[in-house]
Amino acid sequence: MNVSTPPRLADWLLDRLTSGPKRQSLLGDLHEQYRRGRSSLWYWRQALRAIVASIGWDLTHHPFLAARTVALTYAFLVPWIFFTGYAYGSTKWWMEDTVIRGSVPFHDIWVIYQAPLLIAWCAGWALVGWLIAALHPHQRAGMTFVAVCAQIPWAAQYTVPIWRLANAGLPFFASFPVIMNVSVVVIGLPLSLVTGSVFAAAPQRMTDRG
Amino acid sequence: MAKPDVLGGFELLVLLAVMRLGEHAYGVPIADTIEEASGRDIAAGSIYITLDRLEAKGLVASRLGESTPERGGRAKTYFQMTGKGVRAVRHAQRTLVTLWSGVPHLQGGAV
Repeated sequence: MNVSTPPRLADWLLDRLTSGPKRQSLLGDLHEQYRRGRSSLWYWRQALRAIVASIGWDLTHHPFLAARTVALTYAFLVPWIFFTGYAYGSTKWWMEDTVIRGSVPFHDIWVIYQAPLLIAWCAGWALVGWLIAALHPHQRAGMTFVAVCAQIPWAAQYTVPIWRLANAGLPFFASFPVIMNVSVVVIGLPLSLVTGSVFAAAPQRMTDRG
Repeated sequence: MAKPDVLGGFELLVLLAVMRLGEHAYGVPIADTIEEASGRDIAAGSIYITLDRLEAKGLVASRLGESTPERGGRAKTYFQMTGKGVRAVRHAQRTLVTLWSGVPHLQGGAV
């Protein structure tokens, strides 16, 4: 018999990303089965399948909330993209003259890799994730999934430069900053959104409906 | 009288497991029963989604049971068939048997 506690990360994700009227019973069942000798791999598989099932449950039971989440995502992210882009663009050369002052590594980080802009975007995406989780504590998995999907069209159009570079036949070192930039947009921003959502306050321990 | 609900494949498996288990039907034994019969690894989450759908259709009823330390202090939810659920299973059985008898290849369990 397995007397240890289930994998903590899987348990933590389950506690935050499952929904449905019987979620406490579901979590109890998984604990019970694990303690009866199921493996950690089994527990992880069940956790991921329960989260996917919760996404489906949220979307079918709360289509209005899903539509509102799409609207909220754009209502926050579009102004954030414009504001941060404007702030970064208007301070870039001032930074060059006053702070960077010929430092090549600092110049590369600030201007070539656009690190402050990307960090600000990651922070914005994380904030959206947090906001959506806070607004929908009992539909968190589904609404986070909707928000991630909602920003895909914007991320997709952002990848256009990488295709242009690929067709232009530039050497790798020249296109590397763009590849990094696009990687952050395609992978880093959705991850930031999910992270913000998962780290929002845990849902209340409701008693299941009998 | 209203026509009985048409059951999906997994819904039928879950209902039959609830019927077999009687008053001991909650998530863990329901999953075990279906796994033993089908030989498939069953996702606990999909069982609850299905039971929620069946409860919304009035085919099963649920009640909260006891919580135990091995469940992390979380209560069990027990399920039981309603009359409507039993009629739906009988209807599914009749439908399947009727269709079965019309397929000569499947007579006697031969494939």
